[in-house]
Amino acid sequence: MQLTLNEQELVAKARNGDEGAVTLLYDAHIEAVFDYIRYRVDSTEEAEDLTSEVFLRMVRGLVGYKEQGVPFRAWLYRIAANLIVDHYRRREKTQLASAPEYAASDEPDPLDHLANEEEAMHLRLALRRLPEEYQNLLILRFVEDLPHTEISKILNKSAVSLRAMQYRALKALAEQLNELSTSYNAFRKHNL
Amino acid sequence: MDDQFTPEEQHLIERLRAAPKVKLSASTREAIRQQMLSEFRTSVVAAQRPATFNRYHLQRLIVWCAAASIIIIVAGLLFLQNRSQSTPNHEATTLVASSDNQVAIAVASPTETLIPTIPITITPAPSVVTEVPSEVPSTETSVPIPSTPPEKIVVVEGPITTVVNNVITIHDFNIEVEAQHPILNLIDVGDVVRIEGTIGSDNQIVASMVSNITSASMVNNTVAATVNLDGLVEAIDGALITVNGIQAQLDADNPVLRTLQVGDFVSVQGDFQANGATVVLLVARITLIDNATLPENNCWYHDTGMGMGHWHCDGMGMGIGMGMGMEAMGMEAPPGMGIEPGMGMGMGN
Repeated sequence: MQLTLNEQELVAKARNGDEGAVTLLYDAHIEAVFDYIRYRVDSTEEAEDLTSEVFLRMVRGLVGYKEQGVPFRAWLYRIAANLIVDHYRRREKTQLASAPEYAASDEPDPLDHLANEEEAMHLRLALRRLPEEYQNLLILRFVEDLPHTEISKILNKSAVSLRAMQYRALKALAEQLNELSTSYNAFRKHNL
Repeated sequence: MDDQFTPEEQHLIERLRAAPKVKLSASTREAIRQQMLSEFRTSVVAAQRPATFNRYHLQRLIVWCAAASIIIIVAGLLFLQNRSQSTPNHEATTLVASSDNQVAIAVASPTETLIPTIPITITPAPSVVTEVPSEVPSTETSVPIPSTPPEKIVVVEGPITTVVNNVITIHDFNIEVEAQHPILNLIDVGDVVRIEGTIGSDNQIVASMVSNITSASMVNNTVAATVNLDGLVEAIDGALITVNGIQAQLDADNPVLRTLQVGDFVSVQGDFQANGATVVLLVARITLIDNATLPENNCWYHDTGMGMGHWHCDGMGMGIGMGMGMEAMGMEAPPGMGIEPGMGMGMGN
């Protein structure tokens, strides 16, 4: 994060209508928020739309924002997490919910991707098969590299429960990656 | 939290950390920024501006003004009501004791103004002096006592304590009446009278109007009555009749004149008016009292309204005071029983 020391000062200025301050906040957090969302949704387009909505809600909520001893980004992640939940609820109304299968993904053909892109795709797909809490924890902890104190605020969980959840989440992710790897290998073997 | 991971877990974590991240394109990033700033200007920046006076504020203002007006009106009414009730006590504070008697002194306070519509409570309380602004017209017509319009009018009502020459004493207030005023022939100790006047140089009230009718006595639409005269008709000369030695002028076409005879008992209300060199009572209302209603002992009760009145007894003293609504209660106190709070004895008519 580029901003930590002066973050609350920036927030205060933004609340007072300082456009430069709100721009700095945006620049400081846009990539991380987008990363987090991208891991949680199926497509880049969905992630961009949701990221945009996160920052719209940020500026709308600035007046009522209260500093609670955690970095400003924790609030942004919380907004993003809620938006993702709403996003899937809306989608469930229009189409039957289904766990994102490899073949059902709207990702481009994995054969067209480089190895690192395949790796990223695998990880996202595996994460998407996990319960929502596991996804949030693993992404925030290991992709976004947030400390447990912030994650506990974002997910509204105690540090002890996070520790236990982290163990189960990593185990579940390993299982999903194994399943996806088996499925992917079979797919490639069948199509080559 | 100090995490301890197995090698398999550590490997998985490294995979997560090393996973390539999708980069947000510069155009998308800028588009999101502009969208956010636009929202920022309409929400946060607008909130920083002073609130505009919109329709909502106008409605709130109207409601507040209406509520404030109601409160002010109610408070004003309560104030006037309290002032009306407390007037006698308040005015008592304006009294100054002279060496001989107490007199009423009109001490005008700039903030104390009596509203003319407030009825003046008349009671035989020890102090019944009411200050009336001079510009307020009285509901009763002044008797023709020429006097300079007073700046401050003092109103005294109550039973007469003494009459010495042309000085009437009511509740220890000395009121000087014009020596030749015909009302002096009508009033006596105990009569309840209403006197308006001004404060003279010797702190004595100089009467500008004397009435033995204490209640507002507008008997018709044009003529107010300040004098009540009860008695036997002694002479009839056309429309000019004499009652108890007082000449009373009736309208020539007054129907009472057709049947009125000398010896009839009448109750006359009117105003003294100058008639050349003499003063006559210009009759506003005349009532022929049926003799059958008179008690056998030649006494009668004269109700002056408002539950007040007095007994008249030919050749005897009379108890004068307040009937206190006895007639209204279907009761009539007989003379001489001392029921009325009479203020002494005098010569009866």
